[in-house]
Amino acid sequence: METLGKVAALPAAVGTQPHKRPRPRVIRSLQTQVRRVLFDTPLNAVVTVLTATAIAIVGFYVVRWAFLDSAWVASSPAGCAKAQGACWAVIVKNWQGILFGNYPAEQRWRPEVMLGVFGAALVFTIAVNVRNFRLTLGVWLVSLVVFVLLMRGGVFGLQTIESDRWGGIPITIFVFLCSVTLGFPLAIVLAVARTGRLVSARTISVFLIEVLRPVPLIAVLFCTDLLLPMALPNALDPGKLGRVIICMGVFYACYQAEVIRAGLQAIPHGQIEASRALGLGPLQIIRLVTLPQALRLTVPATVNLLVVALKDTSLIVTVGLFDFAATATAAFSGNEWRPFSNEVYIVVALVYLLMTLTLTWLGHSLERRLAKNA
Amino acid sequence: MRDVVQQPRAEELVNIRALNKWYGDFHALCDVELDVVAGETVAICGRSGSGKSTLIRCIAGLEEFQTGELVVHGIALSPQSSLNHRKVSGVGMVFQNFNLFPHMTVMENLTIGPVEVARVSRSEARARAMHQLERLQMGAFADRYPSTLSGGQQQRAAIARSLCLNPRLMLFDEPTSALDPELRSEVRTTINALARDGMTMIIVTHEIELARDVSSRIVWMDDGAVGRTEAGAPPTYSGNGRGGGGLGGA
Ligand SMILES: Nc1ncnc2c1ncn2[C@@H]1O[C@H](COP(=O)(O)OP(=O)(O)OP(=O)(O)O)[C@@H](O)[C@H]1O
Ligand SMILES: [Mg+2]
Repeated sequence: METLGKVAALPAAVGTQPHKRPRPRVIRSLQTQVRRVLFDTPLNAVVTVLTATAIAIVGFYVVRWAFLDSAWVASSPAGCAKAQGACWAVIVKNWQGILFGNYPAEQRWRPEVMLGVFGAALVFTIAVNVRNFRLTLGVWLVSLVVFVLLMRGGVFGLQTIESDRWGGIPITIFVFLCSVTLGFPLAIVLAVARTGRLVSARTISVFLIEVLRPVPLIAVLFCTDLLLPMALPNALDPGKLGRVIICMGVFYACYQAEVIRAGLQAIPHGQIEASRALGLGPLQIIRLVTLPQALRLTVPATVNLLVVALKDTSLIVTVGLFDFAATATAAFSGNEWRPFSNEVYIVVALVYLLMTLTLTWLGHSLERRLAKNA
Repeated sequence: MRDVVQQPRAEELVNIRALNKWYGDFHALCDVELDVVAGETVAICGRSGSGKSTLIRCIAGLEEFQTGELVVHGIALSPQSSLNHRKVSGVGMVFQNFNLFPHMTVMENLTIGPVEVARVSRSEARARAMHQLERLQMGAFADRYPSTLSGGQQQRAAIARSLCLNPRLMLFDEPTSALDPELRSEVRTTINALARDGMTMIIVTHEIELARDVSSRIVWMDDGAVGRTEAGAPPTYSGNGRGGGGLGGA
C-alpha cells in the first residue's frame, strides 16, 4: 500500500509557486459606485429620480405628522387636541399597559427583567451567529424556563401570579418561542414519516397535515381551547396557555413539515445510495445526510413560516389571552384615549416589524454562513 | 490485502448464478453469471443500456433482483430481502458522479463511515482518513468542502471515502466518465495503484484503456446478458518495482 504514495506526480495542493499573485483589489470611490448602481442607464436614472421624489414627498408628510406637529407629553387626551399631528402622549402615558398588560403594577419589574433575558439570548444568538447550534438552543430553552419561573413566581419568595394576568410583549414572545420549539421537532417527524416507507406513519402524517392545514388557525385555536379540557382528564390539562401553545405548535408543524418534505425530496437520490453503500442505516441516513441538507435548503422558506408564526400569535386574544396587539388595543379602547388608535397601531406595527426583521436578518446571516460551506 | 494474494487458493468474493432482474416488464439482466476471486480486477464493458450499472448496483446491494443467486463477500443477498435491510459489508462503491456529501468537509465525508458504521473512535477514524487521503495525494484537501474541489479531486475523495472502511471489494461505476480527459488520468492512476496493491475490483467503464490497463479480465455485456470474456492486461506494470506482484488469483 505504501507504494501508492509515489505512483505519480499528481497535481497536489496549491503550493507556493512563484507565478501565483494576490488577487488585485478594485477600490471604487463612493461616487462611481453610486453612479454604477443608480444612474448607469437612462432608464435607471429616471426610475431613481422618480422614486427619490416619491420618497421625499411621502417622507415630508410623515415627518411633519409624526415629529414636527406631534404632541409627546399630555396628561390627558385634551392636551393633544391642539396638536395637528400625532399624539404620542397616548404611548408615553400608557406604555407599561401596552407592553405588559394586566400584570400587577408593583411586580412589573418581572416582565421587564424577562424582556432583558430574551434580549440577552438574542444578543448571544447574534454573537455566535448560530455557529454553535446546541449552545444557542440551550440558551433559548433556559430563557423559557426562566420565563415561567419569573412570571409565575411562587418560588424564591416571589408572589404567585397566575398566567391569566400575564400579557403583552412577553406573552407574544413566549408563545411564539414555545410553539416553534414544540413544532419544529414535530415537523421533522411528520416530514420524515411522510417521505418514509412506514405506511402507518405516513398515513398518520398525511392525515394530520391535510386535515389541519386547510382549517384557519383561529378555528383550530377555538376548538383546542374548548375540546382539549373535555378530552383530557383534569390533571393532564395544560391550562389555557398550554393549550394555546400546543395548538399553535401543531399548526406550525403542519406547515413546517411540508417545507422540510420539499427539502428532503430535493436531495439527489445519489446521496442516499452513497450512504447505503457506506453501510449507513435508514435513520442514520436521515439524521446525517438528507435531513441536514434539507434543513439547509429550506432556511428561506422556514424563516418565512417563522414570521407567519410570530404574527399569528396575535390570534390568541380570541381565546382570552392578552398578547401584545391585544394589550396595546386595550390601552385606548374603552377610555378617553380612543381617538388615538392610529398612533397605538403604528407603534404596534413598528414593534412587530422590529421582531420580524430580526428573524429575517438572522435567517439571512444563517443562509450566508451555510452558503460559504456547501 | 496483500496477504490474500499469498494464499494458495484464491478466495471467492463474488458468486453470481443465473441472476435475473426486471425493471417493470423490462428484462434488464438475463441469466448473468460472474465469479470474482480475491485480487482480481474485472472490467465490465458494453454498449450503453446493456445493464452494466444494473449489475454492479445489484452487487452493491443497491438494487433488488427477482431470481438467481448473489453471494457477495460471504453474504447471500436473496431476491426476498428488502433493500433497506441489505447491508453489504466489506464492499466499497464509487459512483460516476461522486456523490460526496456536500454539507460535510472531505474529512467528515471520510470519517462518517468508520464512526457511524464501523464504530471506531473519532480520532482513529481521522487517522485512517488522513492515511487514505495522503495515499491518494489528497492530504491538503481534508478541510475543504466538495464543491470547492475539481472533479478529479472529488472522485479521489470519494474513492478514499470507500477505502476508509477497509473494503475487500471495490466497485466502480464509470468512475471517470464525468471527468474531462485530463482529469481522468488522476483517477486512472489511483485505480491502477489500487490494483497493484492487490485490491479486488469490479470496474464498469467505457474507457477501453482503463479496462485494458488495469483489469485481469474484461467481461462484455450485451443487452442484459454477459457475452464474451477476454483476458485483460498481463499482470506486469512498467515503472513498478514490485513487478507482477500486484495481481494474484487470475
Ligand atoms: N430505474 C430504472 N427503471 C426502468 N428502467 C431502467 C432503470 N434503470 C435502468 N433501466 C434500463 O435498464 C437498462 C440497463 O440500464 P443500465 O443503467 O444498467 O445500463 P448501462 O449499461 O449502465 O448503460 P450506460 O453505459 O449508459 O451507463 C437500460 O435499458 C435502462 O433503460
Ligand atoms: Mg451505467
